[in-house]
Amino acid sequence: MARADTFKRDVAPVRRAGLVLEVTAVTHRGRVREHNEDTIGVGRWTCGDTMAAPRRSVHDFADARLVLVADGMGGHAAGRQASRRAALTMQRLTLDDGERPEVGDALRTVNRELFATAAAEPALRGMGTTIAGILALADRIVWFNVGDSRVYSVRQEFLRQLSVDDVPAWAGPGSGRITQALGGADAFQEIRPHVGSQSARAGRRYLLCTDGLTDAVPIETMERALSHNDRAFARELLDSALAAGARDNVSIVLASVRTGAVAG
Amino acid sequence: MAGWLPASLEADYRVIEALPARGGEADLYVVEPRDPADAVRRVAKVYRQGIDPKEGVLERVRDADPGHLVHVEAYGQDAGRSWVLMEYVERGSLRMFIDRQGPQLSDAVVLQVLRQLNEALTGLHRLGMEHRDLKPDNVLVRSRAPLELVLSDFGIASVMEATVHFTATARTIRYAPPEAIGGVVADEADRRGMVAIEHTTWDYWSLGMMLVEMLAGAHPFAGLSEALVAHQLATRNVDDLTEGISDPDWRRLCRGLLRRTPAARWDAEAVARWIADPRDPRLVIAEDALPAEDAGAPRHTPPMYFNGAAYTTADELGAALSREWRLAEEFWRRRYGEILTWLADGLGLPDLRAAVARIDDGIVSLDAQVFSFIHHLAPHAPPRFRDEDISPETIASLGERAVRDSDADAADTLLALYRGRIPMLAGALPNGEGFPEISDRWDSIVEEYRELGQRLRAQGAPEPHDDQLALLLAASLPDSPLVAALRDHAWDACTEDAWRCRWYRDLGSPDTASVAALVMLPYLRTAAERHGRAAKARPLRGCVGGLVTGGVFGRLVAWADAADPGTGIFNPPGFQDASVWGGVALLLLLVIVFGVAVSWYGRPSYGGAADEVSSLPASPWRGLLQRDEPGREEGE
Repeated sequence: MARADTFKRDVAPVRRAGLVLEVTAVTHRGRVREHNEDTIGVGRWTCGDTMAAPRRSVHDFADARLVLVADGMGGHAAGRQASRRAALTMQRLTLDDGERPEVGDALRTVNRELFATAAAEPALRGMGTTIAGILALADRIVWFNVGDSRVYSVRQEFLRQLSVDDVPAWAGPGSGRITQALGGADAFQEIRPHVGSQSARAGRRYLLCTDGLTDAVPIETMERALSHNDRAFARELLDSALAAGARDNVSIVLASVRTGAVAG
Repeated sequence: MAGWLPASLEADYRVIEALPARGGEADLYVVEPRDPADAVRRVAKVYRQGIDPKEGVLERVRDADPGHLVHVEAYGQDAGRSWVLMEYVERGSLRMFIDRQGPQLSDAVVLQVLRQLNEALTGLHRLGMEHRDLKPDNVLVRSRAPLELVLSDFGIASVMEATVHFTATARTIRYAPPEAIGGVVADEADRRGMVAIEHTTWDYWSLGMMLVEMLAGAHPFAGLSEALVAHQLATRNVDDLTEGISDPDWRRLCRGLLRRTPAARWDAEAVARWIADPRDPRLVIAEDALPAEDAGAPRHTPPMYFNGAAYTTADELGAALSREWRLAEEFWRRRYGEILTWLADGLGLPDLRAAVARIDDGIVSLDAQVFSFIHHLAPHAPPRFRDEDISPETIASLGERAVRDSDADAADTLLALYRGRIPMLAGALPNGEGFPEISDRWDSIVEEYRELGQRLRAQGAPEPHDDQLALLLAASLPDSPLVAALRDHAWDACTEDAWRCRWYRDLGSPDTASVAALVMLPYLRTAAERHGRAAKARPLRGCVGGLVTGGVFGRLVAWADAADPGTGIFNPPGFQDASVWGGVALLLLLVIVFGVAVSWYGRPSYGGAADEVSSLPASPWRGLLQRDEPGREEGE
């Protein structure tokens, strides 16, 4: 009953050795689209098919861990290829042994490779994708985005948007218009990725999602489900999007920094 | 007609006339097929040595739907010179059309021009190209009735990078956007990646200038030298460019197109929406950045947009945020990543960025985060909280309103001030006079309150609610009017039943009680009254128990009282000494059962502290007790 002093630092730094990243991920083609052009990636795993239920996994912090969502565009095959290729390339660049580029440089490389692929394969011409994600380093969480997919910091009672929407100022989010993407044009265009970082602390929680969620479900509705655990939260968000008609593919990934042992 | 055609063209065409070539990048000829069966004239563009159009782009243009683009039929290279063979559009340019029909064109004609140019630009941009030199001279008339326009000379930016040094002199800046002349806010924003720019916005500025010219009957920069135009673009507010247009819908369209900030500029889709419905509510004229000199800010600072205005300093943004608390809260929640980038990369203030980023780690209450954020940006702004200037006096007045007038909003604000520890944060500000003292005094009263609460709990009183501390905050001021209000209410709370309760009486008379006790008295009244009423029944029970059961039952009663020391005072000790009668021990077992039943019956009911609190009568600060607003507090 007694309300403890709320002005305290309740996000205590935790020993690196004890940090794990618990990830709950789901992607769905929605109610209208015939195919899923979104791709979600967790570590080296990717998925672009509709999932029956959120998948949960726990990852050691010792190695860099990449969690991302990508919203492909350019027609069924091309869109799917774009989001999948972007996810795989990003994984290769950030998770493989050897020299790992900065996240911004990695995204620029992904962009170049997408354009190169599109130029080589006429069927994939114009393919493009958004991307949003986090990279868990030893002591930092780096977030990034290009396009209108989002990264939120999940707080106890509200969502804080970390990513920056690439949308025209006159239209605002939800117009379906984006001002930059990975690939997505006939001629090469350099990108300006949005990248930021926070210290890695136990208790931090992130929501990554494509606009299939944010266009369908008002932010206030999303915030009402914050008290759920990750799996229930992801389920609730997906259900809300589907209930709202889910005109687009929906991808939702929750990543929580916790202390504890890796369970698998 | 004189003119040199590359051998591969010379074989099939002969030169009819040389066209005036602009910019010196190429020679232009009207050519005629040597084959008499093909009477269609074309234009051959023969580039100067060393200037080579990008083949990939030419290929795309050749294969594109010629819709509103000049059709490229063939291209090639001969003796080191590139050439392009394209459609000859004989009916002149839009410039000539305007000169003939204008200077002011009818709305219907301008609408036709707009529709066709929007389609043309969309087609061009789809090919990954920008025009970057759109002006009436580069729009050709394929047919007059119906009017059919095509874009020409769209190679400047994308087709031939090598031609910049030639074309720069040819391009008039009367149709060029501010970013074309460099050194302006928007251009810098673009370069730094602060604002994501659609790469086609350049042409939409040019389109806007053309529309203004056709609608107003004169170009806004008519008669000005290039240098003066450049100066105006760099320094003047651009909103007055559209002043010559009388129709408000057209003016709105032109204002949307003539935005200094590329990201704010209307584009193909916005234009298409305007054509469909000029009053489409989804079309918003985004507030524009001020020209750098007017804003008094160092040049090259990208603006941050908030509530329809552009800001180029942290101070200005902070002050604007403090005037719109709800929007500021939204801004802080939704544009966090953007603001951090702006502080570090846009303003070059990495230390401020780090300090702002730490707010998120160090402060839990959202209100306090917003307060801290605003005053990090604008440390010299007067402390404001939830759209009210706050000072020690206003906090006292909030408390008085909450108590005397049962003002729920005031109570809510007070609670938020308390939960966010705003006085402590305000005390650290340059303008936070008086707050450090309040903060200290508040701390000591809070300590007293907590000690008092502990003591009462030991005596069986319900748990004090921490939200009461909000009232203590308001009462922390010397001579706070709230203290008198609290005394009045404390007197109201001292009912006869409540006063029978020992721990309640121990809080002291309202006239002399401490501030901490004054806050507690009304809050604990209901609990105290229950205890008091139970105590009234207790003497009878003690008497019966003592008489009937003697020592053993007497001890049971004593045990019951020990568990409820709050009422013990009303059990005269003499009755418990009745245990001397106990030796008689009549029907011991039966009576014990009876005695236990009586003891339970006489025991005051403990629904738990929460029940008692929730059954409080309408107390002036009941709102404070029950208000438990989600979203006002956070943690990770």
